[in-house]
Amino acid sequence: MKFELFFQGIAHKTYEKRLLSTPKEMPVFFNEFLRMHGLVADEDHWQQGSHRSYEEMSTEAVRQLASQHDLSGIDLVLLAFHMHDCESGDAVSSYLLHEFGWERALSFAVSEQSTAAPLTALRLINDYFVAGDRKQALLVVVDQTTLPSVNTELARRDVADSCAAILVTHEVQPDAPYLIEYRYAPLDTAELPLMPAVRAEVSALLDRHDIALPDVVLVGNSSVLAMLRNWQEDRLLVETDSRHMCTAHFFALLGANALEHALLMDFDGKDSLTLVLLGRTGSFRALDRSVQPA
Amino acid sequence: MTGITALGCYIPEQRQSVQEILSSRNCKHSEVRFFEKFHGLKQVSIVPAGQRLEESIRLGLQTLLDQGVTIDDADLLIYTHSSFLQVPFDHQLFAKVLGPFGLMHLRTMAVSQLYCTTFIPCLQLIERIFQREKNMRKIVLVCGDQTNYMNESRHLQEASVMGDSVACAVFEKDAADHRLLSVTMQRDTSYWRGLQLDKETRKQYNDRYMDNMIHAMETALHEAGLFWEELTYILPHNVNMTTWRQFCKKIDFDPHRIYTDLISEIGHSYCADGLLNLEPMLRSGRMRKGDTYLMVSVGLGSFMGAAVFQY
Repeated sequence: MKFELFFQGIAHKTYEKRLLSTPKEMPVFFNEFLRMHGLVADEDHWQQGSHRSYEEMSTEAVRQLASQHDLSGIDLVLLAFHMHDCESGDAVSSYLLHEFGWERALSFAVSEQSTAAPLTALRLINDYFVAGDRKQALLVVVDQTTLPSVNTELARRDVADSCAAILVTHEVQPDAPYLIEYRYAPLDTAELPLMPAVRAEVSALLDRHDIALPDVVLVGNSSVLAMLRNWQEDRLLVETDSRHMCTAHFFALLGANALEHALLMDFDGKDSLTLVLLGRTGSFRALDRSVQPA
Repeated sequence: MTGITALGCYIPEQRQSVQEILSSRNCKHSEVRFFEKFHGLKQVSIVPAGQRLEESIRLGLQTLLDQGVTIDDADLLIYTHSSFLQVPFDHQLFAKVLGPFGLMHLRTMAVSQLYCTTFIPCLQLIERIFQREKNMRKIVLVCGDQTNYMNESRHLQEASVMGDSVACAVFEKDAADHRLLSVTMQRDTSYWRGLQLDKETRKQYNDRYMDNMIHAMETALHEAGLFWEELTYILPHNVNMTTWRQFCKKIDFDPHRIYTDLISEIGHSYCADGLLNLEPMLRSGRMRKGDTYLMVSVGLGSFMGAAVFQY
């Protein structure tokens, strides 16, 4: 397997709550849409939502990234999300191409993977790089909370609007973090109980690259890290912020004291484990181009 | 070479007339007549009231299984759609689709945001995945949209009417048939507002529509090493007949080499038109081994995609 994806920069922001000064009517179609699925739209949730669209958040993050990096060579833009945009008529990936003048870039969105979407997007970008027809890519990861949801877990977690724009390139960069391996691991829990199954997958991945467990920071949510305690040292377990969904791994990496290697772990709570092994993650913080709060 | 090894389509039996759709949008009778007489659009296929997307996709996959096609060994299932919002948040669409078939082990993802061209970049994506992942050999692509929750959304102003359907294709590495010779995606993002373009910008979009589409088609042909005269068939998008009459006139193309039968029968089916058109061509025997064909789609936004295959 060939991996040639290097991280060049990250701009990110978590937004505070914003209340609308005037009520905004919920689109009729959305009510109808939910009704078809046996759900009822929560009008209060809609009114209290921040209405920060993908467009608003991604523009801010990409502008910030552009102030620090030359983005003129972007030829691939991927959008990764789990919750849908509150402005459902806009193709944000198309908008970004137009706004930033990347007229020749390919763009599309990856979703329906829960919080693993951005990890899969990294692997797809790498596929394009290895094929040789794309050289510089932008991954835009968005979480937004305005659309009414029946998922009470979200309310409990107080999920925030957030966005991360990540610049990756095909060119070898001696100081940049890079992708070592992406692995999707369906777990056969009939074969092996969950905890040893997860540990076995992690061990096998590290063994393939001659990396020792004490040399890796493991990044994941509380449920996956619970299976790794008393196996990996606590100081090497980095828990993602429960207020973030798709953006969580990137925020965690920027905030962590990463070692040479980091393993991003996304577990669906049942039997689906996605692993992304990164190298030179100690330099991740140097990529940080946080969007300053207004 | 990457190619299609199986194809299954679900077109709902129920139809809704252009008159019904346009009436719900308060269109004048003259516009209904225009759609019917000039655009050649009579009706669209619609799923039964209350039928959810997962049921429609299951019916699409069932058409594959009914042919004896094996998909439980697929390395990936990609669902692609034109409408941005197809299921509520955390709907667990794939679990609902694949669970009843015992296919929960399949790796899945959705690709979107390119409106009705979304099918075309998926072809490129599949090619790229096969190129890099040596042990991946089979990918199922599901194209499907339904807008039965809001009748008004079936009307694309001045242009088309849209219906529900699902098309499923199995792609394999080193396929013998339906080999993907080339695929190209082009864009003119000044129209990124899509449905929300103002009248003047929409006119500009319409003025450039034909040239942009032909350019994408010619690029795909060129990359496949073919000329127009070497292409056996065009499997078009089913937006309307007007487009294809103008196309034939513009480049002097034989209209009999464009499969347009479904335009009057089911209208435009979002991103599934290409595959929906292929199925009757194969079933009827009209397409023969060795024939080359080009699928083309144009999406709001605006995107133009084309792909050339050889049967």
